Amino acid sequence: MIDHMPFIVGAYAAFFIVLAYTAAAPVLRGRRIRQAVRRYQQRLKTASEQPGKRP
Amino acid sequence: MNPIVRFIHQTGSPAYFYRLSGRLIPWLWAAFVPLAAWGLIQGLFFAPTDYLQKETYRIIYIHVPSAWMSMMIYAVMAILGMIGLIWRIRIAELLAISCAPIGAAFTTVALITGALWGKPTWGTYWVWDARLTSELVLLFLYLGVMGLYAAIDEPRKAARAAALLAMVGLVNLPIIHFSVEWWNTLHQGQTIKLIGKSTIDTRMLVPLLVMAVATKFFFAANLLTRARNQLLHQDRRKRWTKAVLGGEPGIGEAAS
Repeated sequence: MIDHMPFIVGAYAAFFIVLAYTAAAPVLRGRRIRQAVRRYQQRLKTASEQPGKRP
Repeated sequence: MNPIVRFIHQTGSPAYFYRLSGRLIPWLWAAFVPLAAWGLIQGLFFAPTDYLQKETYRIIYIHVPSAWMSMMIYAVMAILGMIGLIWRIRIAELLAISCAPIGAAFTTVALITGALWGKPTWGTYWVWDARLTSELVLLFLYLGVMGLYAAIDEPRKAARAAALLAMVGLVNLPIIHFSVEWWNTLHQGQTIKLIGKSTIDTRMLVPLLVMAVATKFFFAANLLTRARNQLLHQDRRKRWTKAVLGGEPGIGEAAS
């Protein structure tokens, strides 16, 4: 008789791994984008306060 | 102005969309987590054992919602792509392209869990029958849409090209759905029907439907998160980003 448990565990593991990655990846990417945008805005602000300095 | 038309116009504004989606995302996750937890616990531990397939049938609670989502997301992607193409609504283009990775993920889950369900019930992980092959074609279509979008530098042109491919690929959806009726396949026919009586016990059906609803919330939350990222990345040099990222007084970042 075949043991069903490894198939069930494997299927649920695949489900959780793929969905966890799908959920986490954009959250982490969003954080990086927001940091980059803030840094860019900070550089622009610094440049506008010190016109001689390139941003 | 008609409130619906006004809402559509407002949603077309990047800053409004960014703030609105930021407010919605936590609520969508808050709906997903308890629903998924309840559905999985009920399905794994409380639903009765199937008389024929025994415990293996419990893969249904992840396989079937994933397969449904793989098709639904494709339809949503194609419709949003069509809206973007016809009315040139940029948010629709962004939402359409953001659908692709989520749809690809659900299609992958459907294929993997299907293979793991197939081995103990059919005796094989994979067979080139109509349902399985058309689902695999769906995965390739998602990858094609993502690849095409990434291959073109100008984002709006890329979105239009990807939308066209998505619309062409729509033809695959009825093939997937009706494959079990049109051809002799190893895959079983429809168990759950919108019209007519479903041939599944209610105690098995309810957790399945709850999981189906939960995955919709997962999709919505994930879609909005990805669309916000795309929007912020593309508009990183525009004024509104300064406002929504807290650069101007009175307008704070809505979420995350």
